[in-house]
Amino acid sequence: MAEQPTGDGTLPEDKSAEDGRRENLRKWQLSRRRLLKIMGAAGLAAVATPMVPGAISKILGASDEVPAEAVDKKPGRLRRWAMVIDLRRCDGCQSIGKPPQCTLGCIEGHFAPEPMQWIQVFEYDLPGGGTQFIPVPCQSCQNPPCVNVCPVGATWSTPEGPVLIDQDRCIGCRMCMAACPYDRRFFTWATPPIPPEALLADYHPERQFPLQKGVTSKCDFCPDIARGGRLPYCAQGCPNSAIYYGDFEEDMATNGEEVVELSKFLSENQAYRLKEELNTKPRVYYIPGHGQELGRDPYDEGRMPTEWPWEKKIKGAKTWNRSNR
Amino acid sequence: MRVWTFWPLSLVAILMWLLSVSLTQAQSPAGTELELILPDESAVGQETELRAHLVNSLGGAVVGAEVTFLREAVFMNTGNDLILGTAVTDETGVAVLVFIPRSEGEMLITAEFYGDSQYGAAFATGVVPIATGPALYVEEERFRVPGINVSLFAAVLGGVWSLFFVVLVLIWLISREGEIPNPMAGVESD
Amino acid sequence: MEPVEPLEEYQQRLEDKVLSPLTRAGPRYYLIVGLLLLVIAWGLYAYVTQYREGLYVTGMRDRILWGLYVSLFIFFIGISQAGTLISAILRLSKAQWRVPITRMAELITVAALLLGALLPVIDQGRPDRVHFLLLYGRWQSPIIWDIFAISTYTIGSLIYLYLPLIPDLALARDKIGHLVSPPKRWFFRTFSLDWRGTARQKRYLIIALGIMMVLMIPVAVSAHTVVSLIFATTLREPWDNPMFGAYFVAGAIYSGTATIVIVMAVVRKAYGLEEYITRQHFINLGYLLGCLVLVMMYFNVLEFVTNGYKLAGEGEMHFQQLFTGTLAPYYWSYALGGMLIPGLIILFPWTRNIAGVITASVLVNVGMWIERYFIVVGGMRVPIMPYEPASYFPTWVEWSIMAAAFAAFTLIIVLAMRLLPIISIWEVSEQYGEEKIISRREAIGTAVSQSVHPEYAPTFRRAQTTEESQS
Repeated sequence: MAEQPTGDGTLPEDKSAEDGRRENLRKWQLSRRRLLKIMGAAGLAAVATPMVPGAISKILGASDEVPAEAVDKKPGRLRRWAMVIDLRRCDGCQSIGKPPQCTLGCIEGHFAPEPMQWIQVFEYDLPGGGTQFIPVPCQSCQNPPCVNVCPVGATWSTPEGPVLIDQDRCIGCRMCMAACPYDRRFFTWATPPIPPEALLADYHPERQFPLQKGVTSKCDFCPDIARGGRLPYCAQGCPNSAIYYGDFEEDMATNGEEVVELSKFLSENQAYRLKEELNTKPRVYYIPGHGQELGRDPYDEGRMPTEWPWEKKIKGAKTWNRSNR
Repeated sequence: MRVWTFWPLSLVAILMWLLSVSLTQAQSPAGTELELILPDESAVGQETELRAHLVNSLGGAVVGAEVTFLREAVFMNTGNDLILGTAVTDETGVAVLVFIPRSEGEMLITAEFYGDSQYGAAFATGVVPIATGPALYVEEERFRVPGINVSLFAAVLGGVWSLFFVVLVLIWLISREGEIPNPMAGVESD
Repeated sequence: MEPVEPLEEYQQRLEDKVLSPLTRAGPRYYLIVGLLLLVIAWGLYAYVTQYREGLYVTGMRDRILWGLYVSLFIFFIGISQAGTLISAILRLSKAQWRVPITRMAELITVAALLLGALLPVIDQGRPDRVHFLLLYGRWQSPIIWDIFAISTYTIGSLIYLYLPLIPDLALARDKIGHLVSPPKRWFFRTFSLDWRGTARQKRYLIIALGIMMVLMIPVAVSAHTVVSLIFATTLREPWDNPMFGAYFVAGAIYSGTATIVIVMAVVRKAYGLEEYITRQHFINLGYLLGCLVLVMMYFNVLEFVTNGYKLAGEGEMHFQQLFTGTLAPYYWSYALGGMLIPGLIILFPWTRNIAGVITASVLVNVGMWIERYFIVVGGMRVPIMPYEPASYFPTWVEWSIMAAAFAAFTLIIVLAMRLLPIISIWEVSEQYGEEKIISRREAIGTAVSQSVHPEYAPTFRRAQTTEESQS
């Protein structure tokens, strides 16, 4: 079945997914370079007139079209990525006695520096005592507070959905971190500990390594590997296939085992979004549960601390706790 | 020798079996055939009519049978069938399902009749080529307060700065006024 | 009846008093400047450490991601409100007692704004990219509003400081121009703009001052409101408050007034200006402070009976940490030490004296600094996801930079006092003239005629004598 030309943007098996991804990235980068040139020219004008921010915001508005070219689709049709996390199948990886594998997969895929858990498994209290585990990636809001407040347009919402950060642009004011109601933005307080293999990579906002000092970073929703037909690292890492990644345009989602009709799946399972009352309109949906499909006892609390697989390779690197010194 | 004495019995047994088979056949549901009538082409976002014609082994229409339509869904290198919906055959034996495709390319459609007490199960497959179309997912527009835009921002700022400019002109006027045109004239006339 | 001191004599004394510090500096001056420079150098060292190592050397982390720098930024922008209040509002309402202290107030504004504008850059993770704000600025961001509001405010207050300086600089040019060093002489000559005090020049000056004093009030109010919007535009419960702008402006005027009292007391002592800065000034500012205590208490009560009543969402945790929790020492030292005790000092007649008002002002400024601190840190500390509340305490780098910021603030004022007449001579003379029922025009005329460039002085001196003999 998979050999058939799918026409839905995923690449057939016979063609290398990796090649497709490279091609996309190349196009992306080209158009991005052009955009930066326009922005630079507008920026010079900016110094002269107080009207600037408008002119720039208009150009920034134009920037929304950039990633569109990278999508393997006819103009007008775009991927509209979304994520569904089935909490009935999430037990915080307690049943396998390991740290949360989604977080671990993300760390390995993105070389996230030590204290950063771009997808973090929070332990929420249940009404009758006991807890549930909720993995929280960047919610990629449709109404993103972080994008609204950024003074330099270093973070933006792509039309495909993901909210990205350009760490070459970020000035490190941390306004976006103050604005994010999900605590999903991270700051590199010192030169971040990065394994040597990540240092050789080309930086790209959809694949944020190597990370710089003094900028913000976060979950990027993995649109680059998704375009190549691979699930995000967290979904790949999940041993219970609790994380679905989907596309609202095609109305399909998959956890790597089954394909579901996204909108129907959400409705039939009474999916909700975190802090709905804030009207941030996240693109991450949750199906209520506490790991019952895995037979988890909700009163069984605690989980293994997250490990950084490459941590020991970094000598003399500065790491820090998230919450204090 | 002993074997041959039993051969009429064996004949009886074979006859009995043949009879039982034919009797069972008569009591089980009749055979059906499903024919899937698909449009030659369709496009994303376009209403596409899938027709399934269900007939019995004699060619007569099967009325009131529920036909399930499925599509093959391949997404991010994972694939399985998704149910598009069900339809009931009319008096001509045709079940019609209208759906709106959302993915382009060759779409493999399956119509399946699971059978009931009267008729046996049947299925048919076919391919609809789906051309690309307009974007179907529309994001809600954020409410924007009319009039609050960069022009307003610039106007307020420009108003303040132009008043600053007026003050600077006044300072310049003060300075110009201070230049004494001919100071020595007064001294000499004294 | 006591004989009225002639205006000219009064003015002569005033000029001697105010202009003499511009000509000579004692060892005490150099000692102070040296000490301040030492503190600033230490702060610079701390900053270099921070620049090299990253913000890692501060106490800030992901969950409490703004700390001392941002609270100090609000504090400095707050005390910059001093100049606007005293000189614009009181000038507009023609309160005569303000005259001798306007210059100081405007100076505080400029110094505080320069420091205030620097602090967000110090707080930035990538100070090397500060120019991106101009290159790629987005008008939708509160930070850009801040940049425009504060730069407008800074330019406005520089102009507003400069305008009433013109006649005084002319006076300095004429009276002490030959006594000072060449750069200073050049400064006096250039910036006094050939001021001769002609009727037209005076008219232009009065128009310009009129425009500025009206314009500066909305500009200053907007500047501080926009500072509050950095917080109020986020989704964090403790900051999610529409009255935040007004609260910040009230707090700014409160701490600004207190700062004027402190600077006034120091300048009065150092320059022996007891004749001009009298007990009445302290008492009047004390009354103002008293009113503002009530305004501040009003805002606090307002917050408690709305957000504190509902305790929606994270609000419960916030009020708990303020009243009985980790931040309670901060909160109560602000509420009691920064509002109640200063208010009582002003309230009781037997403590309402110079020393009392100065004490109250120091308490107010400390209290307001604490308030800014717990607004920033407290708002950040409330967990927005299920995690344990984070902790924050500034490190030596942050304390050093804070000390350097206060030292730089003082240094700007100390240096400016060596360069600019610290009391507006022409305005004080004018006021004296008015009080002694000498016609206003004559008063300005006298004040100004003596400030003529020496080259042309004879002509004008003569012209004036004839005028006087005629009258």
